[in-house]
Amino acid sequence: MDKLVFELPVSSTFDIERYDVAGHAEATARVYSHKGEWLQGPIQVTSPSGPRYTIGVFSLLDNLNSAYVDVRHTLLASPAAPQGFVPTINVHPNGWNQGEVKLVKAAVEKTWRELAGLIHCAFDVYGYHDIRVGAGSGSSSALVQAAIRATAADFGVSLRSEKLQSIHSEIERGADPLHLTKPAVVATRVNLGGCARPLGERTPRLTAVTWNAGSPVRTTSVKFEYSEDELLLWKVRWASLERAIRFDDDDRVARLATESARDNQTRNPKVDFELLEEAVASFGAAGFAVAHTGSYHTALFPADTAPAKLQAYVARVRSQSKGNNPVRGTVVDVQEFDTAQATERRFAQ
Amino acid sequence: MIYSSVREAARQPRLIYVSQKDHPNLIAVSFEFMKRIPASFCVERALHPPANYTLDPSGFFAAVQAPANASVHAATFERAGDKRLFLETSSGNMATGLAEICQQLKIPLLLLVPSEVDETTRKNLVELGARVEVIETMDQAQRVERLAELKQEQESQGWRVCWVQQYTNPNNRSSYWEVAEFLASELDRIDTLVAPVGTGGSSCGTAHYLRKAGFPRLKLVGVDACGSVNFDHEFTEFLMGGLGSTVTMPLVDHTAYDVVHWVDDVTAFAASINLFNQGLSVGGSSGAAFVAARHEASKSPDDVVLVFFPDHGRRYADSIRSDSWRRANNIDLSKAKNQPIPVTHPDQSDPSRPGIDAGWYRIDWRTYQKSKPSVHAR
Repeated sequence: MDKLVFELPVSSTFDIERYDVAGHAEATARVYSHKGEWLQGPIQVTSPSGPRYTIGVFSLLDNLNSAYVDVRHTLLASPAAPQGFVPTINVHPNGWNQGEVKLVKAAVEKTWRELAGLIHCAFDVYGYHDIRVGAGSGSSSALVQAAIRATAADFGVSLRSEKLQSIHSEIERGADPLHLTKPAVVATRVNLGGCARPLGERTPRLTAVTWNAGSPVRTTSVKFEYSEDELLLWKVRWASLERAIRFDDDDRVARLATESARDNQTRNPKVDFELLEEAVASFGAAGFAVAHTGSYHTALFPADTAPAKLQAYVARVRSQSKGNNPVRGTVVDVQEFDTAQATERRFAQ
Repeated sequence: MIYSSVREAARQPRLIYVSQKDHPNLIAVSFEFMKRIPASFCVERALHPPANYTLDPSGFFAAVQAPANASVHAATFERAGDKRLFLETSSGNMATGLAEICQQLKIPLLLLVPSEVDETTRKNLVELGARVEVIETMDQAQRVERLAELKQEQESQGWRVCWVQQYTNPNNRSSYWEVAEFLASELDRIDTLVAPVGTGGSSCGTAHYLRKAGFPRLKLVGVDACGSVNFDHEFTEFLMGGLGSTVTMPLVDHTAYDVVHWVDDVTAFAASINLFNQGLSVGGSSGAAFVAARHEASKSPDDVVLVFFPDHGRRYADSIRSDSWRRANNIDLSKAKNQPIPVTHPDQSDPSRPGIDAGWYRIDWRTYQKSKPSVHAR
């Protein structure tokens, strides 16, 4: 046991490490978040009662921010847990809020019950994340998934995706598709991010300029209501997205994201939306995306956009954003990155 | 491709490089019967009226209420029990589409069909189980008047009658989501869509969905019969079916079109026969659309231009492709036009006006429309 608790492992989708000595084991897991939904709308899936609609999401899975959880279990005196035993879980929050502590505790307990419920033990949990809460980047999902994975690894188990989803669904009703290893449209509200439409291997290559605009948004406060004709429009959009991603039409992906964002603006209006429109109208962006139930904005530029043009837009956002801070000119977290590279780094194992 | 049902297979168009040597940027979207799409959709919507959907706690959408603007065509029809009857007037293709779907669903259909409709088509409708009444006029207003009488007659006999009303039924337009889905799935680029305009359902419907699904700058080119009232002309006689109208069509959204072509019968029929001679059997409306699409493809060689061919040409052996029929109707194919005459105002191409002949005309509709926004906004 000579590992530094907060040492950051190399980048990958789910970094898991495990150390084991007699009576005591430790494992860590890292799960990356995302920058909101590029497209979000109704999608038809197969359910036990036939075809039904749920909410489908296509997100860019980057490697910019992550949740990191370290779980250690210590065996108690008697080896088998008595009936009705509930393990003590000491969470040592490192900037986590009360809700996050509760989620992590629930994740550790449910994972233990599912995988190692006969083992009589107690837990210490450490960790941190640098994901903005309520911005639509899946902070709670990342944290829960990291806690589940770390707990499973603590008992020497490498979880299948289905098992992870099953445990996760007992903790959160909806979850972000952070477990993916390839681009896909996922049904976030059903089977916790089950793949609704695989989109092949390739990630769109665009240059993203991302910033946080506005206050945290509670996903549960957003009303998801659509007319039947809107359901049909979304069938066309998902088909169009599938073609665009499979056949390298990155501009079309950006345009589809823009249409989804504009639709969303009528349901869940955001500040700084005019800055996104301005990116297309005046700065040569191919489109833009918003975290539909969050506050991240992303302007999407063609990959060959001149750096000077990008910097001009970043400067514009920094000076004009009304979202991040009440005083203009203090936006600090504008991030610029190549979308494909960010995804490739995340998926690299 | 393997289709999930016979109905789906029958509705699906073929994509054809129809003039690859001269116009490699031109792709035909060729249907056997395009009207199968709105026919099937309107019937299904009548049986299962649209609702609004909201996400329930299970994560699935559940129907909550009919939208405020729900189609009146569907009103209570789903609860009408067994004594339900569909009713419609059509010059052929919509009638065939309705007859097919009603036969499959085992729901009676009463059709009012103009006497100009060929005998083979009428026999086919009867064979599909439809009751057919023939009316001695192509005039849509008179046909609609007679339909209202028929509806009343049937209702007095205890039938719950659903009049499909393809001219005003918004489901006609909505049905083209599936064409848009097909095109968005199959093609990397769609810059221009050239479509015949009859009810306005196919052109406005397809363009609406494509523009909101990754093709926001799609250029829509409407092709109308010279003499039709769809685009600010007064009515004058024309022979073509499947495009043009003698009455105002509410589904024709004037704000959706960028360019309009008015094509005369002779030019359209000549193009249709040329296509037949090349091995592609289509009707007159396809011929009209083809000449317009070729022109647009030449004008913008870097754009991908799609053109709708709405129906197969087998119906037209005794009309468009018959020498005697053409002689009887004064159609001289040698007078077909090779180029459209550019105009800036519909009056300049309106054959009801003195000194203006039926011919092939083209207008930048959006520019014209901007000069008169209050007249055309719907």
